[in-house]
Parts: sequence; structure tokens; C-alpha cells
Amino acid sequence: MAETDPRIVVDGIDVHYGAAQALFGVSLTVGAREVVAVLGGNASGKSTTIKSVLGLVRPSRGTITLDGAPVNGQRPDAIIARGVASVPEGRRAFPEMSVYENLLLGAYPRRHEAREIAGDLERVYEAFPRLKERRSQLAGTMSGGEQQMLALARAWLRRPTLVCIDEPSMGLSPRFVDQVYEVLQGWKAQGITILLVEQNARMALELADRAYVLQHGRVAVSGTASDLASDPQVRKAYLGAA
Amino acid sequence: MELFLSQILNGLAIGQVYALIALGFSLVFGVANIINFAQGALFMLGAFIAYSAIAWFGLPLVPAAAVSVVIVAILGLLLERIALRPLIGAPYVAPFLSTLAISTIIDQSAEIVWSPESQPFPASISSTTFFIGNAYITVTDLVIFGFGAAATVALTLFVSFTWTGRALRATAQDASAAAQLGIRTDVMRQIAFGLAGALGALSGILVALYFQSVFPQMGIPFGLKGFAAALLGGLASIPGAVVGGLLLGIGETLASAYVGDSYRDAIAFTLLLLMLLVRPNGLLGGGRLDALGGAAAAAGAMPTTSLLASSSSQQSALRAYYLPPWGFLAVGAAFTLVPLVVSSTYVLQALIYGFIFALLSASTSLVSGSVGILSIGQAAFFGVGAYAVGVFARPYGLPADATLVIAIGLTALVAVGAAIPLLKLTGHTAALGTLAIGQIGFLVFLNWVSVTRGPMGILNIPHPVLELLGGLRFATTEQKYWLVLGFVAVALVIAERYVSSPIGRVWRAIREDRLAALAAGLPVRRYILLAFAVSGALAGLAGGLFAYVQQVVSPESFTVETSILVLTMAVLGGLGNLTGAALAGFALAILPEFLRGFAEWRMIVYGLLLLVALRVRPQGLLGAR
Amino acid sequence: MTGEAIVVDNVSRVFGGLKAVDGASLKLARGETVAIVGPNGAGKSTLIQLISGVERADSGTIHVDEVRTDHLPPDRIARLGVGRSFQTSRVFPALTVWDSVLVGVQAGLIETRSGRLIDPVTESAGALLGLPFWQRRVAAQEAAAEAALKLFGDRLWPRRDQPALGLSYANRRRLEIARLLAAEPRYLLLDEPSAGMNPTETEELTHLILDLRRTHPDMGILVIEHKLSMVRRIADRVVVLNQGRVLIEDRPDHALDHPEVVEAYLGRARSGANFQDAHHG
Repeated sequence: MAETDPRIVVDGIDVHYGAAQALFGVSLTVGAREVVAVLGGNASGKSTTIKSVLGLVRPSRGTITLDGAPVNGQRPDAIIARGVASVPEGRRAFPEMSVYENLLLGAYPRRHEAREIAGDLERVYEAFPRLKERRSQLAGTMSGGEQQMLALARAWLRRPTLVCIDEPSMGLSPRFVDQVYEVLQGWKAQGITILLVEQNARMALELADRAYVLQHGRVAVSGTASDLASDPQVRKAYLGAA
Repeated sequence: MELFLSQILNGLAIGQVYALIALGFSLVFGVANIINFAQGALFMLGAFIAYSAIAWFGLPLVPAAAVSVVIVAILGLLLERIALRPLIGAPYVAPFLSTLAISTIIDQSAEIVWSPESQPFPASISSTTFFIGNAYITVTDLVIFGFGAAATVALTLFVSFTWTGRALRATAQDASAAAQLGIRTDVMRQIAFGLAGALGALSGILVALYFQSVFPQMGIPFGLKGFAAALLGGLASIPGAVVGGLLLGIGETLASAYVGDSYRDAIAFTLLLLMLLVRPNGLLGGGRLDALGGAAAAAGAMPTTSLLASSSSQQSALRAYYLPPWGFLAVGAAFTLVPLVVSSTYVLQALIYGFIFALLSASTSLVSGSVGILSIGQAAFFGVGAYAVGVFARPYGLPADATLVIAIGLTALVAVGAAIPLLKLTGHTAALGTLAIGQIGFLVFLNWVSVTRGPMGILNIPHPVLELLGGLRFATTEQKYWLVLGFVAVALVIAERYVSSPIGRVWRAIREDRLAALAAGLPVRRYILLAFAVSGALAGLAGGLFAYVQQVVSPESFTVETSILVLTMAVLGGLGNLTGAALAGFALAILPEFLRGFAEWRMIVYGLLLLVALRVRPQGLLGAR
Repeated sequence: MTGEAIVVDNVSRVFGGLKAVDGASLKLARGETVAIVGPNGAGKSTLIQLISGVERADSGTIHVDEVRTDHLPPDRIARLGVGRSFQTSRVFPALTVWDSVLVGVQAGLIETRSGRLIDPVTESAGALLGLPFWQRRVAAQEAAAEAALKLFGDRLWPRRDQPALGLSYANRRRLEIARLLAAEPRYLLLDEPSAGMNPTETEELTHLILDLRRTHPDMGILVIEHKLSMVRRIADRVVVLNQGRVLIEDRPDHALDHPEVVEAYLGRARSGANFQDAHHG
């Protein structure tokens, strides 16, 4: 995994929200074509980590590099422009826009490639027949699971080389969680690099190559997915067992 | 029936214009989450630039209109750049006041450039009339409707089928999600302002064609109607804005046909207040407005509905300097000596106005600052007090003790009634509600001729007599000086007692976080109504004293300009800080008296002062409290 | 007869197609401490929003001491003795610590023994003229406010003249709780009180809640809490919420070690083969 240069390097970042500190010197790397999961209980700082990478929050200390170039303090659109796509927490479909328009906006950074986008839309509709059925329906009227599929498809239309995904299983029924992870397995097979933030540790560890467990804004444990799957620390981070 | 149908057709034409103004509000509100008070000023400029292009440069109508639309669109961009971008992260009140200041400056500059008078619009469309059955419609109506509809369709196509348009809508619906798709939300914000300028200009030109005249004061009433239309449609919704505009146009045209043309505007604004009362989210709107006045802040690290605090506020910004209640008596006592050394009635007269405006400004600061509902309608309360004295002093021969009590009581009642539609609102929406109240007040003073004698006003108000002091009469300027000073000082003591009491503390808590105040078990509505009653009583007293000093009451003293002026005073003094408000009110009222000859520049200077203050000292001179 | 308790019965709330709370039932009696736990998006905060009247339930009923409250406005519910904190603590940023706590006792200041509110004219007269009846009430409320601030040792009392804006995150949380306690509520609903606190501060908060249980034996406490080690120490009962439904309600050790709870938190493995439960391994 370390043969190629890492795509993302997060090096010792602190993040504050006003007076409250959310991250304390968090470091992590994501290699090319690697799937890395950031795990942790509620309020452990895992979402803040991915938001820092996407430029949505600004670390007060430390650096973040993307493909070797520092991206500290850059706006989200500048980071997206470098081949990154985001599947935000809570899905964030545009509720008053049709499913079709939501999908189309995923391709915004490459909006001048009209023909390719049309082709990719067809592929999305093939992969998600449900979205095709509902393409002219407003996104806000769909169920949570369908909105999550929409958010995934929207990100894929970016044709990214790297995807940041924030809690894709949140609030979903087991059936939809399975579907989400099937999609992500497919992306992994296509060679897309994935940075995944998850509370659902078991699912995430099945998918990921490596993982970091956050607790109180610090990296508590890290290692390969298979090692972490049997690490009592993981359980402690979630369940607070003594 | 024919008349009815004709009015509907006529209403559709003007309604289409309101829809365009409303679209300007909706675009900016959607993308930038602020209400652009200067939308009316852009509208007025659009009409006047087209007017000048035709009248001064001899351009035909269509190219003149095109030039105007382009220029005003650029001005819209500049507005975003100068008045708003520097205030990102500033207290929530700042961007709104900033557009208000710009609007004042533009309106007053227009009066200087084009004179305050109404001018005939130098272009017209054939006045041929068509009959549809027995209903008639003029070509002008058709052209206006056609152009308005075409612009609406073009805008709809733009936002529906272009990448920029989709990105604009995405930003309006969820700016953070849009940014994560690679959309530059700051650019979208600029585009929204540019479009709002273009739509404003176009609607201004169409209104000029419809009414065949242009006047510099047209911005505020039409801006407010556009806002009403936007609100009717749910504020952030494009089809909503169109439906709202058409409904408003038909409604007010019918009202002016069946109730009387002078009530056209009053009815439109009353509709707005009714809407705020019954369905503040609009006919087609979602829950977006509920969060207005705190939506941005409430999502941050520290939730607040505060107008004054923001995530970037420093503790030092909260240091306020103010007098204890008795301090106003002490200052008042010092001022009693002035007539003993100064004999110039001119100076004394100026000081009297200074006292009255100190009180009026304090009354504004109380609702705007302590409770956090910006009042842009205080002149209406001021007017109610003045007319109460005007009406009761001569024909009924009541002494000043009685008339002033009536003025105070009546205004407090009116203020409470006026506040009821505002109870559910915060932030910018509440402010526009108060503007509607101010406009309705002015229109009532102007048009309720049987009581107010309309534009003529009430003349020859007798000198005040205090029956409680054994029929003491205040006839000379010195005597009136002492009378006014006495009342103002005592009123300010009471006001300051309120603000420093547990009641004032609750007011500030409601301003800071209305939800938390409710969760603390406080009957929030009751406290807001009490604040309006106190503020109304103070403004009513100021108005009553004003009537006795002027001996004349006429509507032009109670225009929106007066409301904006006293709000500016309250902001410059430090919102919620009555000492600051009284000081700024006093200073700004007497200053122009000594700078005669610059009268027409006065509002521009105040506008600039406000703009600068928002940048360098948003907490005001003595600090917001 | 439900007795002196908050009783939530089969309550649901839908937000734009998502069922945040889906037929949840729950009882909080006076004198007991109940913790609500569950993963993100389980509907925990919505439940507190519904009980306190900030959000309206789509169906189901809520009673506070046998008064039906699901249609009442939040201030009325608060005056029935229900004090609640917010997930992102809501202080009054520009008010000083002292003033903030006094706002918390203001409702008590204007409420008569029969539960009516003093009318605004009497209130104005009392406040402006400093009438004796008013001064007595003010003195009592100020004493309550002082006592509440002093519950937090030297965290808040020395800072009483500072605006809440300048407080640290943990102190803002403490201030919010102090404001609630000053009003002497019958029920205290805390929404993630330890969020943003470091381990030492969390320990302090745990002790505070344990102390409250001792000093206020009649107060019912409902806590949403993610730090399960804290939950184990403070709660009599634990209610586990998942996807808007009550999954389990039991003693802390039983509830938190229940396989379904472990699954709700850690997620389910599709195959189940490559993840061994730590307490087996």
C-alpha cells in the first residue's frame, strides 16, 4: 500500500469550534486506491476529521496535503476540483430539486463534458433503477434510504478518484445499509480511493483496508481492518465499557 | 361584473411587476439568507436611469431600458461587494442595516439629482383599449404584463436549465452541500445580487410606464410591496414569488376600485401584516422563515437569535456605558439652567427638538435593542401621539395633562395592536413588518381626512396648559423648553428603570435566544407586547410634545424617513442602550439645525455614518447593551 | 392514574419522510434517573424536543404529573416544572452569568402560588417602584440563583459578571444547567450534558449529577448521554433508542451489554464471521 505516494496526509491537526476543541493532533494517511475508515462513537471527532479534509472547517494547527500539495485553508470547491467527491453526512439531497437535477449537479465540476455526463447518467439509472423511476420526483419526498442512494450516485457522477463519505449508514434500516455497502464495495473494486467515516464499525471494517478509531478527538487505535475487528479498544470506544 | 373583470386584468399587469420585485428579494434571500432592504432603491434607480436616458440623451424606450437594466445589475453587484461582503460573520443585524443605509443614501441622492418632485415618464405605449366581452384592458397593461411574464419565464428557464441556474438553486437550498459539489457559493451570491438588480430595474421601468410618472420616494413603497409579494409566496420560492405578486396586484387593484384609490397601498400593507399574523411562512412556503433571524447563527457553535452577538463577537464589544435612572434627572436638571444663559429662541427651539428626538430614539432603542425587533416604523407611533394632541387639544379644549395622557395611552394601545402580527417573527422579517406598520400609519394620517385633515394637517394647536399645576400655561419658548425637558427627563428615568429591571433582563434574554427564554418558562409574547406598550407610550409622549411645540401636525413629519432616522440614532448610540440612544438622538437632531443649507445632504450623511459605524463600531457609540 | 411522572405514550414524529421518533413510550418518575442512549439519528434529542414542547408530536400523548402537555407551548410546560437543556447549549450570549441565571428564575418571580402569572401592570409597578412584595420575591429568587451557581464550586460564581459569550464550552454547559436548577424543576432533561467536555470535566459532571440525586431526592432526571461509562454510574434505568423506537429498557448493566444494543452501536456484520465480539475474544 505504501509503494505509491499517499493521496491524503493529515498531520497533527487541531480543530476548534469557538472555545471548544474537537480534534487534538489527529494524523492519518490514505494511500492511493486504499479504503480507510475513521471510526468512533458519537461526538468523537470523526465527522470533524472528514470536514477538515473537505475544507469545511479550518484546522487551527497541523497540515493537510492532497496528492502532495497542501490544501490547508482552501475552499471546498477548490478541493472538489482536484478530483474529489463528497457524500455528506445526512445525505443532503437538494429537497426542492428533482432526482435528475440532483444527479446532474454531481457532475458540476465537469459540466462541459455533456456527452460523457449523459452516458454516465444512463449507467447510474441502470445501477439504481429506483432513481430512474423517480427521476422527475422532488428529492425531498424520498425515503432516507433512497436519498442515500441518490447521494452516492450524485458523488459518483463527479467521476472522482477519491471519495469522502460521512456516516453513510446513519439512520438507515439494515436492508439499506447492506445496499450502501454493496455500492461502496463496487467503488473499491473500480479502484476509487475512499475515506469513510462510520459509526457502524462492523460494516466499515468489512469494507476498509485500514481504520483509525477516534475517541475524545484523538486517535485511540489504528491498524488494519482485520486487526481492529477483534480489538477490545474498539468496543471500549463505543460502549464505554471499563 | 365588467368592472370586476377589468380590474382583474389590470391587477394582473401590476401584479406581474410586483412579481419581478419579489423575485429579486427571493433570489437574494435564498442564496445569501438576508433580506435586501435596498431592493426598492434599485427599483427606483432603474426607473430614473431609463428616464434620464430618454429625457436627457434622447434614447428610445427599449435601448434606454436596456442601459438601465445593465447599470443597475452592476450596482447590485457593487451593493454585495461594498455593503455586505465586509460584514460576513458580523452580528446578524449588520447586513440588514447596511442595506438600509445604502437605500437611504441612494434615495436621497436621487432627490438631489432628479429633484424630490414627481416627473412625468417621457415614454409611453399606445393607450388603445381592447375589449374582451365588456371587460377592457389597455395596450400598456398588455405590454407590461407581457414583458413581466417574459422576464419571469426567462428567469425560470435560466434557473431550471442552465448549470449556473441549477447551481444557484442548489446554493439556495443547501449552501454547504452545494460547496461540497464544487459550486463556488460566493460567486452564486454575487450572481443573485446582479440578477436582483436587473429585475429591480426592469420592474422600475414597467412601473414608470404603468403610472406614467417617476419619483425618488417610489423605492420604499414598491420595495415593501415586492417584499409582501415574496412573503406571500414563501420568500424563497420562485413560483411562490410570481403567485404572490399576481395575488397582491389583483387584491390591491380591486381594493382601490371598490374602497378608494387612496387606500390602495394601505390595503396592500395591511394584507402583508395579516399574512405575517396568519401564515408567516407564506401560501406556498416551507419552514424556512421560522429560522430567520437566527438560522445562520443557530447552526453555529453558539446558538443565538441575537442581533448583536455573533460567533466572532468579542467580549469587549459588550462593554456599555450608560447612566443610572436618576442620571437622566441630573442631566435634565443641568439643562434647566440653559434658558437662564441663552436667550436665543432659535437655540432653545433646537434644543427642544433635541430632547424630543432623544426620547423618540430611546423608545426605538428599547424595542430594537432590548427586545431585538428592529423598528422601522417608529414614526407611526410618534405620529399617533402627535395627532392625539392635535385632535383633542382644540375642539375638546382639553388641558395638556389630559391630552398627553391620551397620547401616551392611545399610542401604547396602537403599538400593542401593531406588535401582534410580529410576535412570531424575528430578525429581518420582523423589521419589514415594522416598516409596513410605519407605512400604514403614514397613509392613515394622510388619508383619514375627517380626523387628521389629510395633507393639510391640524393647525393652530393651542399652547399647553397643565391643569394639575393650577392651570399653568406654557406659551413662550423658554416655558415650552422646561415643559418638554421635564417630561422627557421623567420619561427617560422610567424607561431606564424598565430596562434595568428584571423585565429589561427578560427582554434581553428574548433577544439573545427566544427559544431558551421559552424553555425557561417565560411568557415571551407577553413580554414583547409589554415592550411595545412601553416603547409606544414613550414615542406617543414624544409625539404629543412635538405637536405642542410645532403647533401644527401634518403627515410629512411621520414618513419612513423619520423612522429610519430614529433607528439610525438608536444604532449609533448603541442598541438597547438608552443613554446612547438619547445622546445620539439629541446630537443628530440639533446638528442639522446648526448646519442649515445642507438640509438635503442630511440623510446621506446619516446613511454614511450608519454604514461606517457598522464597519468600525457595530456596537454603537456607548456600546450595545 | 399515572402518578407524579412524565409519561410519554406511543409518540411519533416525522421530519420530511424520516421517522425521527416512531411510537416511543417512556416513563420518568420523580426521584429516578433515566438515561437515553442510542446511535446518531436514533431520535433521542427529538424525544426531549417533544417532551418540552419545542416540537409537536404527530401522534401519541405526553403527560406531566397527569396534565396532558403534548399540545401546550414550551413555556407552559416549563412552568409545570420541566427544565431542559439543549444539545448545543443555549445560553444568552450577551447576558452576564448572573443575569442568565436570574432569567432562569424569572418565571418563578411572576408566578403566584396558584400557578397564575402576575399581570404586566402589577409586575411593572413592582419592578419600577420596588414595592415590598416584589422585593421579597426578588430576594428569594436571587438566593436560589446564587445557590445554583455555587453548586459548581468556583467554576461559575467568580465569573458571574462575565458575559456568557466569553465562557469556555464546558462552563457554558454548566451555566445552562445552573440556570435550570435555579428554577428548582421537578424534572430535569439534559441533552448530552457532557458533549465537548474532556474526561476530567466529564468526571466532575458525573459527580454533580450524583450529588443532585442526593440533594434533590424528588427530582426526576432524564439524560441523553453518549459516554456510556458515565451512564453506568448515574442511571437507575437505561432506555436504548434505535431508529426512533425503544429497543430495550433495563438496568444499565443489563441494557448496555445486551447483544441488540451492541449491534445498534457497532453495527451488524453482514457475514458475522469476521468480527468477534470483544468480550468473547
